[in-house]
Amino acid sequence: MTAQKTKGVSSSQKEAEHLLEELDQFAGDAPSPSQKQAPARDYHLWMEKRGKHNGERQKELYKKHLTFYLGESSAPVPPGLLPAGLAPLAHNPAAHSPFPVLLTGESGTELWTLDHIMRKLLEASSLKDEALEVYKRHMAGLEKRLVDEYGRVDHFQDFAGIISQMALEAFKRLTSDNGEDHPAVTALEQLSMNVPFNGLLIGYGPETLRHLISRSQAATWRKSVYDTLNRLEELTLSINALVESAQNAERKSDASNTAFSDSIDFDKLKEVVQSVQSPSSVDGSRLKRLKKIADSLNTWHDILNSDKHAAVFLEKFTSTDPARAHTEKARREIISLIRDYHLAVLEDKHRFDPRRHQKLFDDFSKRMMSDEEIRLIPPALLFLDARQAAEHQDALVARMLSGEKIKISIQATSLLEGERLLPLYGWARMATALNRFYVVQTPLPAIRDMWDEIRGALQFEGAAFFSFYTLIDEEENAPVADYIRCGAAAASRVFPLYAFNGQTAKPLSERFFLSPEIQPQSLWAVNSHTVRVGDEHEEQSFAFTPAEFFYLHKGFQTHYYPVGREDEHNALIPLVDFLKDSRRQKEHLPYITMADGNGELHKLLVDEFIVDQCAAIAADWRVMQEWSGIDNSWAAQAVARLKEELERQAERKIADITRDFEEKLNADREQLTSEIISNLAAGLLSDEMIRLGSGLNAPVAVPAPAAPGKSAPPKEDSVAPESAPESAGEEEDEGLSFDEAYIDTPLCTSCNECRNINPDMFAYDANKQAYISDVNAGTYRQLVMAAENCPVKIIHPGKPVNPNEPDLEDLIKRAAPFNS
Amino acid sequence: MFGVSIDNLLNLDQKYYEIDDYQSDIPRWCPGCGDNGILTATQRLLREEQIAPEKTVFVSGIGCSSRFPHYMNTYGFHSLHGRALPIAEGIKIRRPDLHVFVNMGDGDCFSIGAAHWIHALRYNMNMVAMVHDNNIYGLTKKQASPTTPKGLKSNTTPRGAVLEPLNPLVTTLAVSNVSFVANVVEWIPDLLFDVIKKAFHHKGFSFIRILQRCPHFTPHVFDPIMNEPDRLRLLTHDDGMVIPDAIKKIYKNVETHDPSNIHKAREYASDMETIPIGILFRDESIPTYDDIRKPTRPNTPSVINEALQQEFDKFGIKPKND
Repeated sequence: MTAQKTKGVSSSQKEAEHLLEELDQFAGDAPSPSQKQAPARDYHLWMEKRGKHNGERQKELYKKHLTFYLGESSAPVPPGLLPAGLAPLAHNPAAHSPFPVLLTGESGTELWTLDHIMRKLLEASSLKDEALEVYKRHMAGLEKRLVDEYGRVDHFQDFAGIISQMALEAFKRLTSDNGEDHPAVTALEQLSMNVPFNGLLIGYGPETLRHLISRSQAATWRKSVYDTLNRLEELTLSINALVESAQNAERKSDASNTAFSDSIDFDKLKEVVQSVQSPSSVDGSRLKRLKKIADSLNTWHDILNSDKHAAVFLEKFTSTDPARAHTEKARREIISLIRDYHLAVLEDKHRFDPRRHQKLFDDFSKRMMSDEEIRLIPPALLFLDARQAAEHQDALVARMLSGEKIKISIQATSLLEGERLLPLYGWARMATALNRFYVVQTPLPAIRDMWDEIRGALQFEGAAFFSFYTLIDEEENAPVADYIRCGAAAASRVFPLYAFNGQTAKPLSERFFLSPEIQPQSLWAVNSHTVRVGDEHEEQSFAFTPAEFFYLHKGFQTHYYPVGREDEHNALIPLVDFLKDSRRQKEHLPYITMADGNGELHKLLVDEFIVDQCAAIAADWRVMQEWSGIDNSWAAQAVARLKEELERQAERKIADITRDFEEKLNADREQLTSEIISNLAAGLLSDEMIRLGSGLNAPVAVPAPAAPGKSAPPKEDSVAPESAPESAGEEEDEGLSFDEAYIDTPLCTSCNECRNINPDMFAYDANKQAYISDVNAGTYRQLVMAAENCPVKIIHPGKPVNPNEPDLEDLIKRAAPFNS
Repeated sequence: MFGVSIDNLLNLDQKYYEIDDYQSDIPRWCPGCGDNGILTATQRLLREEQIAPEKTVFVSGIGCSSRFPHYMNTYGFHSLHGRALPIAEGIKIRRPDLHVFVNMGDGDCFSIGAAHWIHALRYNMNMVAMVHDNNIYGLTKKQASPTTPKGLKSNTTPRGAVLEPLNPLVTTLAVSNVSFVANVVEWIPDLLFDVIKKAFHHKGFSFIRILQRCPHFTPHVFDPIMNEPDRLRLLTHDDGMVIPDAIKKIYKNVETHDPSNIHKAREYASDMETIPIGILFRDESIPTYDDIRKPTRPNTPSVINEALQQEFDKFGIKPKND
């Protein structure tokens, strides 16, 4: 300032410079700011044009391919390579896990994705046009929070509570910032009070499947029990009423005759009960019996009334022996339920005769139950992870072969270990081959696509087998998110999504189901992306083979070798083409296309090991395709045979018909010729012919009536009136102590003064207004300085945290005016 | 495929914009500058209305306040001194789908841009004009502006300003076709936000004069009204702006004023003792120029392309065909 006053000329020069600087800056800012979005959004694939020249190092490449001696790779693998078909998805910030999902519907039978939930919520809001757009964005915010906070929580959460809590927060923030006339406010408030549906929110985790399956199984079983014993509830009530009335009678007699509290005055009881409710007699043994039945029925009623209790009853196990013991126990318990049920029916009708029935019910066993009742015995659920399955291999095989009704679920957390493929796949194959299991195989992220099949397997009366793949990364820095890698296992045919119905009555192709998600019609799943080659854009399709999937696993990465630009060679062909020929094309080298973090495409040479694995998986996949009726070679052969036969028959028939026709034609022709000649001769000599020769009247044309004109349909314009109901929000004041430092955040003018003093101590909230984020991040001196500098005087330094700070007394004195 | 249903994600094109999405750069205003508060209020408005950044344009002239577009992650036009309004009008007439905001300083608007200011009021085009009035030329280091109070020493008036300051509210209310006039101070963030919001929802030219502290050149010019809250007259009305109770506790001088009453508005505006805060005048019925002179042809990229091609064809050299 002083310098300016003394040198006026230079100051104006400075100003001019400043202005110029500013203008320069503006010119530098030329690109539009809205284009500065997240860089990942602009992820595009590209490659430089490569000449088709033949590199020198062909021999070396062959060596690498055949011996997979890739240890001393001269060209380092570029970091962050991803399969080209997958890279645009992995780099898309909008892609997020399909979790959490919502288990909802009647007795937990529907599985909704987030999109589905959000669409339902939007429908329920009944907003329109612009208000809907704003509301949609707020819902997108809620959706993001759901994914962030609950996507990884793998136990059940009450959905309505969560969403109404979130909506309430959003509503409060909106109203406090913005008044009540904001378009989304009413809808959010309504949502916070009344969520149109409820269910359980389930995140992505190791326990997710166990929860889903046992919940759903419990619900299914409970429902089937209730349907069969459809009178259970009424029966329980009426038995309870019976016991109640009998006990009342007992109590009355107790009251009248307290001396005989241990023994019951049966005569009096009899009288009372008879007078109260029924013509039948209630004696002591019957009362005991009734009580017992009532106890049993009440317990069962509780169990069957809630999924939670039913789930406890359907205990799940991680090894085979307790599971068998439990099945036994469950069997006994359900038999006793059926017995008590029948007993209750008889008692309810007052038809139970101890002499006739007692013996029958004492010996009650499975033999006396109807088929329908036997079906009620709950299946055991056996949950194993792949490692446990391998340990108890023999026991598990024995259980699978035993022919009992059991639902087995095997969950793998990895498919690849070191350099080999784990044999998880084999279990599902085995269950399928046994031909009586309902088999469902899916990675966890695709569970929504297979949900109908899973429900089918749970409702299936026989045994069921679930094969699941759940990959969970502990650390979050993996280049591809675990749920995408999990899904990629399905897309690459390493772990295909399929279901196999154990009912033997149907034809095979109807029993075997391949999910349309993974392009079951083609050998490999193919993704198309636009690729910039030089200056041109072209659409390229990238197959997703096991080779691409294996690359995502670190142990396998030694089997790939980068093909440098100088290595380009005519012998290099894509792996997919390489695999097509069963002779393996000795003169060619397979490669796969990968993309790096910038979207540049690279070629990676693949060695024989990977090619072998791919070929084996392709063969398995072909078998599956044939089972599901896609390109069935046997069927094709049969059809070809049939077609040939039909064609031969048709040819014979045509030849016959042609011959007959020609014969007839010739005969007709001869006959007609003679007729025509005779007629012609007669006609030429007749009177009519002479008259024709003299000329005839020309016919008169009658004008056609004019077509009636069509009238245009009337147009109607209607404008729907919009109304925005208003609602009020309330705020409360709270007293604050002056011992702690605080800021009157709503009054902050965001002037950066305090943040300039210490950005760690002072932070901005969502409204960009300051608050004290960490009072220990700086000194008391800084607090006091900030309070003094604050233009709106809203920083209250409180009392010092650290008593050893220098000059504290002075500082407290300075702080005093701001603490009052 | 891959277990991710990317095709039907809601947020693929429906992004929820946070405040940071509207912020492009760290503001280079001095610490304590009132412009920061105006920036925050504007960003909050956009966040609450969830307006896409690419549907918004900020136009400014020259001055401290006119650095505004640099800090907004929207479209922006840092134009010439005093010429923000005509440029904004040009943008609005060709791109009526964009939300146009104009940020000017007191020197920018009331001095060199005064002619444009008067005519922008008369044209009444649908946009929000904010004048950051700190009573001084700040960017060029303290020269007297039209609103500099009498007696203030500056580089151009070393013995103190000799003229009475201009009262922009009175001037504005005197122009025909004026449709929205508000006055607010930047140090009450909630009121500032409310006023900008009302202005945004007003159909027509919304003129907001914002009294803004300059901590460097005029640090004490607003001290009298900052120290005496009763010198601010807060205007409340059910039809205009309702002052929240929390603010009424601090600023007790609250009066009910119907914003459709222009005579009362002029009376408040010309009172030099108390400063009216809130909406002085509002009339939705005045036609806007962008409605009257709406372009007959939609301005789609294909139309522009076609027109350009036609123009280029005029200069093309064609082979002689004889």
